[in-house]
Amino acid sequence: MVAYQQSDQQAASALVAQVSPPIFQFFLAQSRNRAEAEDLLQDFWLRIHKARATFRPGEPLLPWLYAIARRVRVDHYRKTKGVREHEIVSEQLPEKAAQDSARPAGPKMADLLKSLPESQREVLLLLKVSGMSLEEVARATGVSIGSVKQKAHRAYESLRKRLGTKP
Amino acid sequence: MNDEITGMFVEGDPPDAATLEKIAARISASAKPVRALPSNLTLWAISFGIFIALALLVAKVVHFKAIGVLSDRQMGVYYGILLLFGALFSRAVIERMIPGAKRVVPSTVLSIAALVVLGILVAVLFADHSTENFVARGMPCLRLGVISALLSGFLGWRLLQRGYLVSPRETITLYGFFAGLVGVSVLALHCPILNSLHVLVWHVGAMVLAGLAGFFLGSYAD
Repeated sequence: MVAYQQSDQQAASALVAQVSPPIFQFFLAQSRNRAEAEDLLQDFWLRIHKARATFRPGEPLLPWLYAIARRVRVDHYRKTKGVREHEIVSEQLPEKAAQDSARPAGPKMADLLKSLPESQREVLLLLKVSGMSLEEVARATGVSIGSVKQKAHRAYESLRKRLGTKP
Repeated sequence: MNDEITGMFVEGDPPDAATLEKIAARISASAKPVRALPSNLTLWAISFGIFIALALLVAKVVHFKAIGVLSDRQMGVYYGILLLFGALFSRAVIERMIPGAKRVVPSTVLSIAALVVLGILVAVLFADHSTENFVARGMPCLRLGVISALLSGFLGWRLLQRGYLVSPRETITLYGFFAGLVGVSVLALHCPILNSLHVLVWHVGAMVLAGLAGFFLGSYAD
């Protein structure tokens, strides 16, 4: 990251290659399809580039990255809210079916995740997909560690109920 | 059970290699070396320094008339509280300029606490509650408070532009209250009227107005 700030092109390429997959998963889990997640990923990198001076060496990188990724997702959600509301159901079904056939292992979890409230889903994704610690998630989402714990706990409870398993 | 849920998060498809190459090429093409922002402590010192310098500078221009009429106890408590909130607002604003920074000071609690504490403090410190020439004597104070807040807002905007706001509405609202606090501080140094209702409505009112302006600007930017 420090080399990228010094405009090292190789460092920029390495950073993109290293950081993009988990960020892409973060977007994919909350998007309608791959194309949308890739658009979000491109927007994310443009903003990272613009905000690169705000990363200070020695500070944790993940909360910085995911705080910006969250902002990208929120902006995109707001921008496409009107479109989503006017979409007819028949347009969504083939998309979902295509996604299901392409990713046999994912859909069940994706469906379960989509049933969770947005804030809980986000916390669970950051903890489990991105592998961040409670403190890192708290920093990325701008809330307290206690609030992160509570959201994660509620998300687990909700998933347990849906899966029909006991704690 | 948690392990079972964790195990369900399988590694998904990676992004398209072509997309990654495109991104890397795009950001490399426009890359210029940048200097990372200084530490939170330095940024806090700059922000707090602007708060103090601006309050003193504007008060110097319009004269420190309040200092002659306030008792030592009133000055100590009133200015002490203003400095404390100035320090806390500086810290809170800095925390929100940096994505993923650790947040120690909650913005909503701070803004409400500042208004409540100032309200109680003013009621306790200034015994006069008369309303003679209330509006005529108050409007110049409100005007000065708002002008000071605008000056602070302009300088603050320059500072905020150095960072990246992940929650513009929250940050700009917070900065609005902070700018309003500069206005309250200027009036605390300048205004010789020691009337609790006057200070509450026309001095602290400038802070409320600046906070509301921040909220609307922030909502627009968000």
